[in-house]
Amino acid sequence: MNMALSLRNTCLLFFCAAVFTRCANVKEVNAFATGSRQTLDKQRSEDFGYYAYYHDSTYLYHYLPDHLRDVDCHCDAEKQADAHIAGEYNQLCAYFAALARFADPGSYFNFAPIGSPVPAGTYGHVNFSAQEASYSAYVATALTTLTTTGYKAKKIKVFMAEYRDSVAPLIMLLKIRADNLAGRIVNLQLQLDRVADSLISYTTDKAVKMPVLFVYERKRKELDAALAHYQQRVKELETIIAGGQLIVDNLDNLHSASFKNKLMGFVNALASNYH
Amino acid sequence: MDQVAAAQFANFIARFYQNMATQVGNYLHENIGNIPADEFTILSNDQTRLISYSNTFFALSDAIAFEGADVYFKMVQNATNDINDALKKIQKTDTVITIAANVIALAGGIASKNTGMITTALTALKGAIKL
Repeated sequence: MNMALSLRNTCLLFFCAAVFTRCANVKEVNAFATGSRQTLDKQRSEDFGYYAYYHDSTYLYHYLPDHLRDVDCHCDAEKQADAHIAGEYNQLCAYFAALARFADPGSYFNFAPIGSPVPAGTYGHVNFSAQEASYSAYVATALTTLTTTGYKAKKIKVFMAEYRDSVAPLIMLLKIRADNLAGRIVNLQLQLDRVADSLISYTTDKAVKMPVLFVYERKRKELDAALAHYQQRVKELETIIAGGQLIVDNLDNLHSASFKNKLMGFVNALASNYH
Repeated sequence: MDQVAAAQFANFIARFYQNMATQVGNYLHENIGNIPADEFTILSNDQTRLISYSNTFFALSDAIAFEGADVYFKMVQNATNDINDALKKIQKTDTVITIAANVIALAGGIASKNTGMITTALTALKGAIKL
């Protein structure tokens, strides 16, 4: 009996070793996947999202309200939208963690809960299209496959097929979202400039000018910082998209020096932003 | 045009209206105090409308609901560079007002997918740019 168990354990160990030694073992892909995961994890935790944007909009686009209630922000639904977007980032983090583990079996990978796919629908001013929801659902399904039975496939092509069909489009949609939010922050700045310029230029009460100027300066700094974050986010997502596409295009050429050099260029770009 | 391309197109239009709003804002910033109050008010309100349209197109881009937009893409794209260049050079307030008004009409045409409205606005814009 003990002999049989021992033999079975030995066989299991041998099988696991065989599986992981047949993983891709491409350290550059591991470095790219690790860098992408870190970048996406950082983006997920940034706090200026749709809720913050609509909160600011309520004040800035409501010129000279009659009552304080006129600038009440009913933005709870936008908080839910932010949570859904964080969920999408979470899925992408899990995908790149799995890819990193596959590309270098010696690396650490925590199989954390992946979370549910984002449901299509409207959350206040924010819409999640059926297409976006389907990409999110594909990623969730793919992750389950890749982190369990997918390892048995022992082929990076399986990972990159999922990347091409669902991960890359989802990153693209998140990039468009980030770019749109950056654009809307610029519009907030334009509105802030317009209102401040008008108040300072046309007020007959000179005592009003300095408070307006101070409030303008403070809000402008806040918006500048949020805008810089989002512009950076767009650049980082573009880098991840380009790096992923490079792997897809070189699946039969992963050990070439040219491919490795190009991919490390993307890794370095992500690292320089991350630190 | 797939949904990602449609979203990018809506983003492109949003950026165009944002650029217009920026140009009008720059004009106001440079000339505030030197132009009559009624002209300031007209342009200031136009800038608000341009910002509003820009936000509308950013929202459309998020919603990725701009199907069929490629029909209007070339018409608008051809006009954008000319308008942006013209606004940088124009010194007359009434010309700025004419351009801004027709760009706003153009946005209304795009948003409602009204080809006639787009054509009328583009024709008026061509005339205004030559002034």
